[in-house]
Amino acid sequence: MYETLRDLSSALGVTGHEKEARDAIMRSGRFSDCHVDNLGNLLCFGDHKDGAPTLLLDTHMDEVGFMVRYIDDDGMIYVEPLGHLDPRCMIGNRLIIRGREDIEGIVSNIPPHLSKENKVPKISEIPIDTGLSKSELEGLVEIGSPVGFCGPLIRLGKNKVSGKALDNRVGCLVACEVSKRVCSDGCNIIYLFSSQEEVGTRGAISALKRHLPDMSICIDATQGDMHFIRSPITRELGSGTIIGTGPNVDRKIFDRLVSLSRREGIPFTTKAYANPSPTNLRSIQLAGPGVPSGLLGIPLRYMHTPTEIVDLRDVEATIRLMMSFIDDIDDIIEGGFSCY
Amino acid sequence: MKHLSELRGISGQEKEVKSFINDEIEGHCDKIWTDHLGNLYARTNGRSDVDIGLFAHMDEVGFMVTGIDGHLLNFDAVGGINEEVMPGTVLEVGDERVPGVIGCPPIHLQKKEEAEKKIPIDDLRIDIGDVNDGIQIGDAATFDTRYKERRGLALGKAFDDRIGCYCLIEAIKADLDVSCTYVFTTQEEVGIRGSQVASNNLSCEYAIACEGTFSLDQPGVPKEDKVQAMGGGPVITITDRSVITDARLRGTIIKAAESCGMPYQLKRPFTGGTDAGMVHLSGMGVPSCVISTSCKFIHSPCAMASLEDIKNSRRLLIESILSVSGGL
Amino acid sequence: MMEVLLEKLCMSRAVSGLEEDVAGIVSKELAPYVDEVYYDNLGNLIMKKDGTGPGPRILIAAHMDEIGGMVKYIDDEGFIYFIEVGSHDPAMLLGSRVAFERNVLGIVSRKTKGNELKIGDLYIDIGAKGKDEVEMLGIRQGSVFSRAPSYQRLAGTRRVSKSFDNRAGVCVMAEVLKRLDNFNGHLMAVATCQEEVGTRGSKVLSNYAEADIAIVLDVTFAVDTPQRVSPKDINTFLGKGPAITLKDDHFMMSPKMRRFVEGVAKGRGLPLQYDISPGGTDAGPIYLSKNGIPTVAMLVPLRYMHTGNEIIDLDDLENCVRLLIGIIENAEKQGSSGP
Repeated sequence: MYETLRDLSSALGVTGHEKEARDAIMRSGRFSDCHVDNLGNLLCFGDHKDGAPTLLLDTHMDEVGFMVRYIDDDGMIYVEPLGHLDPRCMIGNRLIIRGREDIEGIVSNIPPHLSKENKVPKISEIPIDTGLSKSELEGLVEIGSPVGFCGPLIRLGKNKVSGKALDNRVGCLVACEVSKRVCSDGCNIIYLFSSQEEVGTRGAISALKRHLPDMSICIDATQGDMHFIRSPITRELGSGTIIGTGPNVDRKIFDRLVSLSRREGIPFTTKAYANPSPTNLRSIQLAGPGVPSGLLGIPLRYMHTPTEIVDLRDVEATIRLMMSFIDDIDDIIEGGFSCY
Repeated sequence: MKHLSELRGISGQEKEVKSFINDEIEGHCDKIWTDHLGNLYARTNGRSDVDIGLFAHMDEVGFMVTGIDGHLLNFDAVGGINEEVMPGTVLEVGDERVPGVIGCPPIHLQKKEEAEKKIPIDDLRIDIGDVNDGIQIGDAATFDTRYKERRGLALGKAFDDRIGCYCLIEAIKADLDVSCTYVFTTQEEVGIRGSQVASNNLSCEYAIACEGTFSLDQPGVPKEDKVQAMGGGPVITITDRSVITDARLRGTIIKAAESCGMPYQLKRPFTGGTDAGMVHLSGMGVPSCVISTSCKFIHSPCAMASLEDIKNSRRLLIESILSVSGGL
Repeated sequence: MMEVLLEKLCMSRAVSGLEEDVAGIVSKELAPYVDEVYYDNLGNLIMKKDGTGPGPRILIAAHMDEIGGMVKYIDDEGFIYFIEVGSHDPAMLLGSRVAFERNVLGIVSRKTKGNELKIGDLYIDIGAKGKDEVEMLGIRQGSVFSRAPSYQRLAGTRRVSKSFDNRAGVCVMAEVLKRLDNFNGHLMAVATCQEEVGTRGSKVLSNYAEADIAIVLDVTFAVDTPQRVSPKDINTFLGKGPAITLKDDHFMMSPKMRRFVEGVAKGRGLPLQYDISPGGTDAGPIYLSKNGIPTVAMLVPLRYMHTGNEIIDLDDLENCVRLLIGIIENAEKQGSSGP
């Protein structure tokens, strides 16, 4: 699993430029059919069973990153953020600029001897230094070229890993693992690896216009406990999968996920979203006639930085819960759904 | 109105409201059904040239439990509630209606600067006195407010939008010979969500939403903003944040109000949003308008409305349905 | 030729929700050049034109509405208080002229002193002696006004008007429909409504439009003026040709579409600029419709957006027309486009 996650995490899949992530996913899962739509969503299908209900498993594959917006006369590159980003986690780091070829750039910073101000610059004002001159960059990098965090996945301690884009490649990992382990013939599964989530769940909005499932489960990374913040919105790493509830979540699916976890001894916590959840779920639920949906989260520390951390045991818990949900899917379909 | 106001139904948990409405309207419609989001649809078939959609939302603002620490509950607001109305409020928590209060630190123990600021919601807790195993994360907490009527005024919670539900129920019970779909929607307060799905599921030629809206007839509001007063009659929307209402439909409704000889007022433009905001953008576009009742202090533990206004809104809705049914 | 129509469009009023005047001009002007003209229920004007042979379905959209305001209260002395329709800079509105229906003119002044200025601090004076006179002129709560219509020549090919946003786009669309005579496929050209209040027209359009490629025509900020603080801010210039949006708050162009448009521009020797800016256009809802429509947002650079003095360069307009024609004629080769 670590190897698969390393492959998924290393792929550059900045919002709107998810090709490499798509390729990594297709390598990692077992699907009978794959399809890329106009928005860059990757839709994968398991074996088709006539008459069986359709379950959509959504995990977004895009990651936060940047886009080149200006190159000045000295060859300094300035970027536009794609997704919600904190400039403090950029400074001093390396970034990959994907032009005609990949170029590494270092986010410029001033040596401690000279820096005086205690002020965080705006992202649009931070230069990225590739060591190349403007003329050398010509034809190599252009306005609009995607820029992403780099760095391999590393192991931390026994069960934890750290790297970039774990939001939400851990979700993709769950979906890929499920596709390899699933053997139930109770339902048709659509695996939606959605694009452009970080800029407003756009991939999911478009994909659900074409593919309307009978129900859906959305899997996304969720804020983990940190020494900075420990509150009702965060969960401890290693505490298992997070089962979401709130107006976006179908009550019956929530109850089912909780009772399955109890029955199988899968570690879990519950989390309430009083308002629309910050995931694709908020759009999926509203597609067409309304899609009954469930939400699973994986605790993750330091979200949207190059050093996100997750606990592989939480990933495994989420996979196990998904597997038992799929195995027992007939029970839940009986009697219909309600989101209230 | 009393029952409707006291029912509990934060966004996403509208079951109680729904089953009450279902019982009320049964026998007056040709078909009643629901969808995955919990929207309740009631269909009446009649002799009319056009099909009209009527919308009111069942959900109310309230709170949701997000964390449990002994007798103290962390919570989050469901829908827009001003933090300053929270401390010192009595609530009912969870399905078992466990009583709880939102505590407020005593004034003696606060520094002057602290006492002058609103307390952020993250620092507030619901205190239920003792540990209670029945309460779970995700449970609803609603204002514990009894409904009262006196001297022509109604006092109670959830007037936004149980007044709209009331008007729709009354219109259904009037057994008009008009083809209508009445939709009692969910999740309006958390981003006009129920009606988004409802409008995917429906096709109607015209839509009217019925709302409980705020009143601006209060001290501290400049004269040019004081439009839309409690007691001034039903409020008709020209534009709000979510919709520019259809001029012909609006004209028909205004004419209906005038021919009944009832007072009416126009809504102060560009504030608030309603189900009409979603409905009018569905399909090829659906001409829509909003009839509201102006209430003081909505989205707080206790709102105030004029019984005369409520009566007039009900009448205006029925008259409007009849006028629109012949086509515009 | 094109300028005659442009001036006519700019001298009419179409505040969001009340686009009848501009829609009327466009449909009358283009009726001889298209096969079908109709409206949807929100007020989008839809024109269809079939090509000479089978080919892709092409959607063109340009919003015809403009920002303005609406009366919220008239006091006894006849002063008019209002809210904005679409977003204004209150400082730019202060002192400007506005026009109500029947061409009733008014000027905008402020009731407060000091540096802070909000829309709520402003009021309109139409010179009336009292509330009665205001109402006699047909102005009441809910009445709508626009910036006073204007269209003037400036140096060279530069022009100034109150509403090049987005009559410039509408004019490009009209010119393209007139000039196109030999293309394959099916064209659906839509003058959309209510863009300035949240791209509502295109949201409705996206419910039913089906297309293989979409081109959205609008305007963008040209900050090639003393307002430009740093070259890394915004890099679209007046007179340097159409700007295509790589990213805004609601839309991202797919790399494949970008290469396609670059190819067309290069092949026809047309200038091209890139736009990365805040805000959004009709492209946002349109590219998410149905199966996702590969979309180009082609923008006319414009100075002083949402003021009464918007400046454009006619050369940019001409280059937009040529590029759009190029895109339509080449769309077939693009075929069904992936990401």
